[in-house]
Amino acid sequence: MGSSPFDHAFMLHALAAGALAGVACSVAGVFAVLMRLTFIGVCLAHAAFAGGLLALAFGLPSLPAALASSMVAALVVGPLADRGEISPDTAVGIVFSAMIGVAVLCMGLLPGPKTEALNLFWGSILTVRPRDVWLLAAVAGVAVVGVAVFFKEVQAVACHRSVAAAVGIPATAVFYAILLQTGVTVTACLPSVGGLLVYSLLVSPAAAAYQLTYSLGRMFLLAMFFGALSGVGGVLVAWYLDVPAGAAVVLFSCALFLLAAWFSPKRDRAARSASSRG
Amino acid sequence: MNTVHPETPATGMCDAYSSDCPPASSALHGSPAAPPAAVAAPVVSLREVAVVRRGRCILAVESFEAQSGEFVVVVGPNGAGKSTLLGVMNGFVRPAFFRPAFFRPGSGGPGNGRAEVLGCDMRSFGGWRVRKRVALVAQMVDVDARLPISVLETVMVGGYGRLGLWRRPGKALRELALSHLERTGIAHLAHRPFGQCSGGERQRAAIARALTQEPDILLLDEPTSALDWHAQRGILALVADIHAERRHTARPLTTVMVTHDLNALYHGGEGEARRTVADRVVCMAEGRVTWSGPVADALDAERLTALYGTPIDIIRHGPRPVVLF
Repeated sequence: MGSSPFDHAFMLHALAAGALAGVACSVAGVFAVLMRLTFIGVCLAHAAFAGGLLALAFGLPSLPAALASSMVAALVVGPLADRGEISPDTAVGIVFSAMIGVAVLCMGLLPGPKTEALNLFWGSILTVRPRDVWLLAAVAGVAVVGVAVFFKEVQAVACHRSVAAAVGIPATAVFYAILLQTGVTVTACLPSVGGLLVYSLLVSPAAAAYQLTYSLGRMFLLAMFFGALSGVGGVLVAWYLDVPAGAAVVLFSCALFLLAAWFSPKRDRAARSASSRG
Repeated sequence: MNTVHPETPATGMCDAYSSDCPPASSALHGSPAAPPAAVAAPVVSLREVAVVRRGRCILAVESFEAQSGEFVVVVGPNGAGKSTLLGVMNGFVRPAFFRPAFFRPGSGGPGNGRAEVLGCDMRSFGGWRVRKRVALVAQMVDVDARLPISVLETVMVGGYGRLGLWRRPGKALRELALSHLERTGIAHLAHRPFGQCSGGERQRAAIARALTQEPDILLLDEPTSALDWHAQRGILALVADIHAERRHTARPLTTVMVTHDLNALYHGGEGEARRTVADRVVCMAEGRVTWSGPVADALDAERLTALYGTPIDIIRHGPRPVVLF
């Protein structure tokens, strides 16, 4: 392609959406990785996605329904996980298959071309509307400001929730605020990244940052940097290689994780030398 | 049981704290100490308290009290309800009261139940606020070695409950945490990632965190389990010293320690006279308090054999009784 990607308004929207989705997802992802809640992220992402499709099947706007669906999932799965009444494996198995079932059912019910429904699957970052970019900016802004203002509570709850509760921090309220923020984030990412791919963007940048630092503040900054880099880098890769943008964003974030894991100072030296010998 | 039912339970403390006001003697905020109370009030008062989980009664305490400044050791076999008792005391477990029908079929009254800690009703929704003044050193659990929090940061967490949501931790809290790291002998580990500490070091950090909380009640749930003998001895001596230091101050520390290690009741090095860390021992089995009394009477072979369901002997090593099983 001869022209620059920055010459096109749709590409500028896509780059902004990629960067903002990366930042918002990586903040939620730090909680998911530290608190071992990645399975709840899967549940919320799929619930949002299925809710959006269900709304489309009935001719309703998809995003409010997706938000409501992920909120309900957070309020149902959260207490179950909190009380240890379901294992993460079981929850993912049931929710994933149920939501895919709902999705396929809704696709079958939808008359005519299913472009909008498929966009909820894979996202359509290159055709994202300014309204969706503003929504992502608001969600990312709230997430960053929330972490900055309540950093001490966030640190205490994310690193050792039972200790935080024992010293009198309202740890349960912080936990549910984190779940709701995760639900809002995956919903805001549906139009651009899609319900199936958002989970990877949620986990990979945070997991990459986790490999590189023992400071929570630095982990948030690194995760946001990796998230934004994945969004921007993925869109640019999609432009230059002419490949699907959502997939490029996700694969870019996975590649960053692999690099971080390989160069991690936390990696066991013995394991590293054994693997290099092997 | 020789627990005493007070005629006038402590009141008012919960109200003062429910507005998130720090206590007057908080070193964190640098205010002077309050004058000592003339009469020791019970800081923990549980009566006819029950906890039911999945249809099974896991705690049924007719009476348990701890006086201000008292050091109570709770012993008993696994599943006796010891940790649940600590959970009631710091608001992790919301208690119920014995229903009248439980003991007196046909009675319709509310019973004589009471669950108060530092004057707070632990059945109310605000019961969790008492945690700001009740420190818990929990059983040691595995910690991810890559966790992004340093020893100093995890100790500072002890002061976060008092600070409230909107205040940031400042220099005063940092220096308080550093002083408690010094006190617990791990100041040199302040900047080490918490997950990279040994079990003994993590327990010392947990005690430093509890001290940073500036508690009125210190709860210890098997603080020496899974530690080597050297670490066990160090932790017990530290706990005993911390309790003793505040015994004659305006704010004496009430300590309740759950342990399986009956030999932890006495400590002291070679050539030292026997020293007991505790004022009173409480035996628990199947959710109930089966005996409560002074340490001198606690190590009774017959009672302990019945309590644990396994033959237990008590022998003497110099002046010190030693439990053999």
